[in-house]
Amino acid sequence: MSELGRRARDLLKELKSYGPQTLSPYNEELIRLIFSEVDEHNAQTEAIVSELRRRQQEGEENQEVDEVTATTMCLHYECIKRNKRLLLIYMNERMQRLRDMRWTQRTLPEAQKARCCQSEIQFYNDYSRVLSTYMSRSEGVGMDLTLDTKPPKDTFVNVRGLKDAGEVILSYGRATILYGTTVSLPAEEAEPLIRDGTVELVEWDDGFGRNKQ
Amino acid sequence: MIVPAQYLNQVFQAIKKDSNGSEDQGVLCFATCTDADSVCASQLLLNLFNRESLHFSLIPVSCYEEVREHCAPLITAQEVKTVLLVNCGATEDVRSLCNLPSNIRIVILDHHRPVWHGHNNEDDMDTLVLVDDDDPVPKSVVPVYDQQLDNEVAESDESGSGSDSDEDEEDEQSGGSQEGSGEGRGRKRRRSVDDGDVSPPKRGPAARAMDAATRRRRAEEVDSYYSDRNGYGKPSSLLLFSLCHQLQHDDNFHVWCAIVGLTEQLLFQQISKQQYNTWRENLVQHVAMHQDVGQEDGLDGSSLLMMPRHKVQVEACEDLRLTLLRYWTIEDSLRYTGYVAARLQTWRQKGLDNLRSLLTYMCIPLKHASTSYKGLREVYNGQLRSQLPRFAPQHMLAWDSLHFNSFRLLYKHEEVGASDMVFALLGLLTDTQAGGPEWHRTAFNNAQNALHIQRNLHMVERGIELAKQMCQDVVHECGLMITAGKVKGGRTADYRWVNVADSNAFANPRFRHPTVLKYMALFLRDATSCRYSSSDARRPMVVAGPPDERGVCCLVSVHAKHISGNRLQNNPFARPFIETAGALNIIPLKSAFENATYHIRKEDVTAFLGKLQDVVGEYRAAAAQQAQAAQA
Repeated sequence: MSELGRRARDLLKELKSYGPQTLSPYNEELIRLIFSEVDEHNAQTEAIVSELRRRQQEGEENQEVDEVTATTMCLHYECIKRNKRLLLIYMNERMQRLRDMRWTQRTLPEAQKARCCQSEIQFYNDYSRVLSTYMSRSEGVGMDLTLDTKPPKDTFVNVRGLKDAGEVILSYGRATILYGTTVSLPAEEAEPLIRDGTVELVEWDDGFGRNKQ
Repeated sequence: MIVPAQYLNQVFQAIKKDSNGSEDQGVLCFATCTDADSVCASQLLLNLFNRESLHFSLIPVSCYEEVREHCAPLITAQEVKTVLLVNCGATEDVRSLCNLPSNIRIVILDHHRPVWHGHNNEDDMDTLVLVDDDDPVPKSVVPVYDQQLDNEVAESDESGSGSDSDEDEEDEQSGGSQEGSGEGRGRKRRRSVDDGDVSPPKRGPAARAMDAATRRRRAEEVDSYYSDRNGYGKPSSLLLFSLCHQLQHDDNFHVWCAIVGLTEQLLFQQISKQQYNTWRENLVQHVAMHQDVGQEDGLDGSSLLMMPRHKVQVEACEDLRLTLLRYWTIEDSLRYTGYVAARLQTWRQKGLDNLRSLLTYMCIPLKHASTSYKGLREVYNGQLRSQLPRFAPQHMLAWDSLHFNSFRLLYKHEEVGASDMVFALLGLLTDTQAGGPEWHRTAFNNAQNALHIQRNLHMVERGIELAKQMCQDVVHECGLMITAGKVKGGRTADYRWVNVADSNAFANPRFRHPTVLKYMALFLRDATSCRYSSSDARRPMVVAGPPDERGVCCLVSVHAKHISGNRLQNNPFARPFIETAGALNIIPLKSAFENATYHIRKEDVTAFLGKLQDVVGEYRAAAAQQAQAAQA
């Protein structure tokens, strides 16, 4: 039972083991094997269907499909669907990661590029072009949207230290970032620290009346 | 300089101007992490800073050593900068403790009293302590700082053997032995380093006698100031709320923070009920101002379908003083409320039976009393309120202590009372398992997050669960301690004390926190007061907590009588603690922010408690002598 769809599961597990912002190498081999598995299931189904058709044409007596055959057909069909789903998830996840990489890092690092297949590289280039056009001054909004992880609500953000980072020089002066201290920073300067993991964003409401979710 | 609170706006504008003009624009804030008032006050402050676009860094601290440590980079700073202390710093000379130069302005908003009289110096514009005029210890009571006079007093006491007042002697010796070290507790008279230079010029005998008389008066004045004024003043969150109101930034949120700060003081008996009511009246007006009038259409108590409120609403109400009633069952809440538990002794089976009989008299079925309050029908709420006054006196409970005027917050389907919120914050603050060696900072941050109730209702609920645990632990463990006779101090003792390390409770990590110990001390004080006879007065209570990982124990003390009116609830143990520590040469390992809490090594605890008895005995003898002399 666990043989069915195992390859697809392994494929996804491999992708999962690589964290966000990285990709596993495009596993052509495994995908080809999955395709062959799907073909096999399809072949089996075809065989059963043709058998039933033959019986229908020849007008044999027992035209009812017995339970075993019906279950077998269903099983094959479900397997095909599952494999298809898993493959699509694989594709989707990789696309998603490529998109995130475009947003967080400007260019695709060589290491990741080597792990993509040709069509993925094509996708990345197209997406990058679309995004740049959108952010450009002539045809788009004219702002670099990839600067902020979250749309900033205010020029200042409150952040809380997650590590003892010591003294940090900022545009307005010095600040000591220690574990558990709360600091207010301009949004642009907070970005790199948040991405580093040195600090985390503190979400506070501005009183009870405003900013309610 | 001690600044009356009406000038708070000017202080704030000055801070703003300074920071805009300086190269180092951030305001460094320190907030204590032992009480809910500092959580509320710091939230108000940070909200204000955000709205006024001021940069800040907030560091939660638990002792003065940490303040010093974090101020260390500022010692060599050249720029003008502001350091703001919330709920710490009034009782000490912070500037010399941290060696801060005078280009750093220190602003202190502290509810601990007494304010060190050295702050009361009109010429000093760099250290500002904010005290309101209706504070129990207003500025007018604080002796004016007169460095020369104080030096003379100090000198004469040190050199003269047959010196003026006998109490000063012990003080000077204890002060002398700890001089010079930064951690020294010589608080009574801060010795300035250039002591020896000042020598009074030679004068004739009459003038000398007059000088001596002035010195004596001065010594007595300072002395009585420090011995009678140990306690709490106006909560910092109320001060900050008035500032927010002046700057027109106030909102339901700010009112709620102020309410929580005030309620905490009442629950810990740090202010009298009259004082609470006076300040509460003020807040009621603000609440009325912010109330949303159009909210209540079509909502009456009997409608089954309650629409959730999307806006937070705060309103005044009369609340029962039963701990966490809304989040517990009626029976449990009655059983673990400090007052009820102490009077009925509910840790015993007999007490529990008494409690159940009270419930029966009130016509509340026991089955319903032990189901969650939220699931009960509205009728029980009404019944509780109407029947409790009738039957409480029969069961030795005073209705007066069981209800009080308070506020509640309504949001979505939740109703949070002000005292519930205080307990939730305390539960979060005393959560020693919060994580890591800096657990007090995490706990403080959690408590801060919990105030933003729209996002973090789950934090409030978690705090309430922790608080329930705390109440249960306190009642059970203290009950055991009482029945096992661990509470020392008999019929004629001046005060009672207990060392938690001796009993089963020493393993409970919750009991290492000073606030939990204070809650415990209040409970023990009330519970042991009816021990010998029903007219046995309440005695002050000293509780020594169990040692923590570093072998440091915390000692807290609470006062006995409730002083009514607007006067300070004086804690009589401040001076005895200092003297005992001085006599035994025990230096506290960690300085707490108030006078009546000490952190000492666990090996010294028994010696300390023993000597404390002697010291308090001496005080009593001296007071009796004085009373006799005054009569004669």
